[in-house]
Amino acid sequence: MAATAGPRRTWISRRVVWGVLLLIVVGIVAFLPVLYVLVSSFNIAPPHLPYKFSLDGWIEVYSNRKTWGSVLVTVILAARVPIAIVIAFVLCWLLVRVEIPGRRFIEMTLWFGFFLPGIPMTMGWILLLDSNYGLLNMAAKKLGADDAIFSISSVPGIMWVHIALTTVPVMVILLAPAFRQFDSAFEEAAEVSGSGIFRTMRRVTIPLLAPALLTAFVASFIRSLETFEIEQIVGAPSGIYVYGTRVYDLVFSDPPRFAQAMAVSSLFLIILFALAIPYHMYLLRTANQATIAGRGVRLQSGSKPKWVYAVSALVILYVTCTIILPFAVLILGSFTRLFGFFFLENPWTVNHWATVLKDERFFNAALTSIWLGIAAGLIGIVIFALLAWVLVRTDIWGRGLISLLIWLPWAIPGLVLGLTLLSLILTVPMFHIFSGSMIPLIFALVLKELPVGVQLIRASLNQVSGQLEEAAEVSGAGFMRIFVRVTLPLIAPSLVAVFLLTFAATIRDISTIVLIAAPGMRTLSLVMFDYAASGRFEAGAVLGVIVAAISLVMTVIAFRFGMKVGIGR
Amino acid sequence: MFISRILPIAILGAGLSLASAAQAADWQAGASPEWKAVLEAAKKEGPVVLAGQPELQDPLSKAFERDTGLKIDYIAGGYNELDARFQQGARAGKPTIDMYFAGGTAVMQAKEGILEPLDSMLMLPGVTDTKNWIGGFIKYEDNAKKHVIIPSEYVHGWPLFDANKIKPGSLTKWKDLLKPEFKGKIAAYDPTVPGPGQAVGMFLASSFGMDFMKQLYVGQDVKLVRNPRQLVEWVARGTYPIALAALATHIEAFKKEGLTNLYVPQMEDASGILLGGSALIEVAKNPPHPNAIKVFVNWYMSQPGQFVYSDVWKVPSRRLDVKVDGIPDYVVPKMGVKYNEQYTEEWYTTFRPKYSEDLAKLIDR
Repeated sequence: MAATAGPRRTWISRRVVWGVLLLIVVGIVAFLPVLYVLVSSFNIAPPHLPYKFSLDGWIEVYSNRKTWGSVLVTVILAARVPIAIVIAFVLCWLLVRVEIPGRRFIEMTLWFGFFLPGIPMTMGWILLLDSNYGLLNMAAKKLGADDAIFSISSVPGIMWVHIALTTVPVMVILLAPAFRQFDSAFEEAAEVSGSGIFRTMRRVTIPLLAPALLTAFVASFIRSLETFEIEQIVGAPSGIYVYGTRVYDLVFSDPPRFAQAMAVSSLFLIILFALAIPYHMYLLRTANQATIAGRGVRLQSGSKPKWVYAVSALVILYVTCTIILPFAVLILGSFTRLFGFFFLENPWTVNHWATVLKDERFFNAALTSIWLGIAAGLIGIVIFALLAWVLVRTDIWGRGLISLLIWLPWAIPGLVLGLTLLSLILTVPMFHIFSGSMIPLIFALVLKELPVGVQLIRASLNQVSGQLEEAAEVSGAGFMRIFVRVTLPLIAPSLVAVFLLTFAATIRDISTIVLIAAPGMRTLSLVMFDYAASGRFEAGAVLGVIVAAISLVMTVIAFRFGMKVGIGR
Repeated sequence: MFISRILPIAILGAGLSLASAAQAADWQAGASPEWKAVLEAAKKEGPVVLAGQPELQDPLSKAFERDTGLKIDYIAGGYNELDARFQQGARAGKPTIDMYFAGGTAVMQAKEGILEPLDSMLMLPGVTDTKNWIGGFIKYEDNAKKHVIIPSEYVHGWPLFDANKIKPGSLTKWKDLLKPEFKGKIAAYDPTVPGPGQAVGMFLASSFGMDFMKQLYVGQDVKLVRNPRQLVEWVARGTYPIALAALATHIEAFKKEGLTNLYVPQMEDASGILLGGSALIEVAKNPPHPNAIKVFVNWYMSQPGQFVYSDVWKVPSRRLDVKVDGIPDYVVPKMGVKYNEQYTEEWYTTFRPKYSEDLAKLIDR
């Protein structure tokens, strides 16, 4: 493309200058919070006293078996990622390649599931699977079971809630665009040559989709290590602690143990690089593996074999059980006098709905959430797309380092990132001007989505052959025209997916923004967190249903728009 | 049509305005010209920024605006997040929050020097007149009696029983909880994190010693939670027959909805804890709205402000003219009973750090 074309000599100085400039910008944005965490991990002075260097924080926290226990449980729970990638791959293949009946409903439901707020949906799962009063366990006992069949407060229980609510839906969201951009001519050629479905999948589909699969795997694996809310609600009563809950305990212990919390967070940095470096090397090796060329993508059609209908029924049953069922329980719960107490003499009421809808905070929070989501989503895709384009289409100096720095925002748990940003805003004079505005929130949310946003668009760009852009350049188009008219439309499914991911993160996020949201700037998820924290689960459930309704509207709009660019086709 | 519908509404509206004005006039009775100047200056500053538990937001905002014409910008949240946020801003000398409804730890921030003195902020005769307060004095948490006022006090620390499984009167001593039949039957709010569980853990440790604590929390395999409502829910459902450190506000909410098995006993071998809850107010040094916060502090310490707090939490105010219906008897301090008083400077500087460390070791966090 433009950046790589032309005489080498004229590019050397420009690629170094641009590379250094970009490295500085990305470095400051991504590395500053990490640096703060590292420096703070060696400070054992109480918050109001001057810095005091010591290794005590590291020694104390890593000599505590609770730390290692929580790391072990976190890694065990991360086993959900390989399980989910297999489920998601099969689902995407069925939705995009086989085009099973009901695929639009299935994909929309998965998108909807991803948007659903974590805390209320977890409450829905508790009502279904609690070993003492879960509706499914009570039904099983009525059918003759001696004891509870399910237990949500267990490692498999937590894993199930994650797989159902987030891991599989997000993987389908990450993989489906790659499937759609994949030229099916490769598979058809294999089939014409006598290769069966599984052989084609093994020899053609999986190798060609490997960058996208790896991106989905690495992104989900890293995110799985910092999950917190579900474990706090479901795991803590059973003594199941993970890395995220450990950090939370240390930050909010009495007195706060910031040095230890930061030291634990630093461990994450090591894990992150252990995954990011091989991933990055692999991407460099497969950078020229385009699956979209000038021939365009061929759509499959025609009559379908009977097994397709049976599989479709199975998949619909899966999304019904994992998303619609707990959501239905959540709706029911929002109309109970006491959440989940169905056995009371007169259990139903609309009072909680009236309370929430009359709450002044509600409309402000809804507006804040929507504006913040749109702002973070739009700003995010522009930044992510430009960074991805630079990494894929140019040879500027320091690309490798920039590519690694982009992972850094995931090296810090959301709560610690929020605490770090709050400290930076309060203590660094040049940042203080942002205090009280929406800018820290947008910054934090875009930063948090930077790794997945850039990697997803990057994987997508890698699939698009440079020939198409070169053809436009030969026809006389300038950089901006090529970027807007050729590059972006070709990767539109991924851009829509990234926008929706960022929007969803804004709607759902609690830990990153809870400490930096300015007065009068509460999002729906924060108001929901307030309700849950004060034990008003009923009002929390009402707000959960409302957030879900907004999510549904967003999903429909996204699909309407996405239809034009390939999503839900 | 117009007259029949609009006129009564107009008359009612006028009546309510007069009633509000009368109430507003009451709490400001005898106010000095200086107070009126502060009130006028406050109106130019914009909303006063408060942080605290979500329950207070609506009633407090509405009542304050009704009585003063001023608005509140309220940041609702949990203790942990709000504590961290308020302290970070106050320490940096750039507070964005004027005032935080704090717990007993407020005295530590006072000692750190990041709080405005409150004694000099009290301007209204109805507030400063000690005849309006229990015992004839305004109670402070700090020894200097300047920074942290305790306007409300209640008794905490009793256990909660499932009356279907533990008959009222059958378990009357804390030490009875060590009986083998209660192993695995007790749930408690985690005593290692700030909150109601820590207060109870420290109360029991100070009353019966750490050996008792080990036998109870470790030996009896007590199930620890971080959500106070979960405790009440478990007892209501019969999952656990005994809960430690449940909150009255949740117990009463469940009772109101018809859960009749919830029972709060009075234990014979230790009377309970005297706490101020989150009624304490911390005003950051150099608050962003210096006049508006003065108005709020005076209003909050007067009858209408204390009524709102007392009514929301169903706990007694230390003001003698605040009468609220529905406060359960078990939270009202009794004359002549010696309680474990935790909202004092001595408790926070001497006893609490030790118990906190001992409990952390015991529970192994």
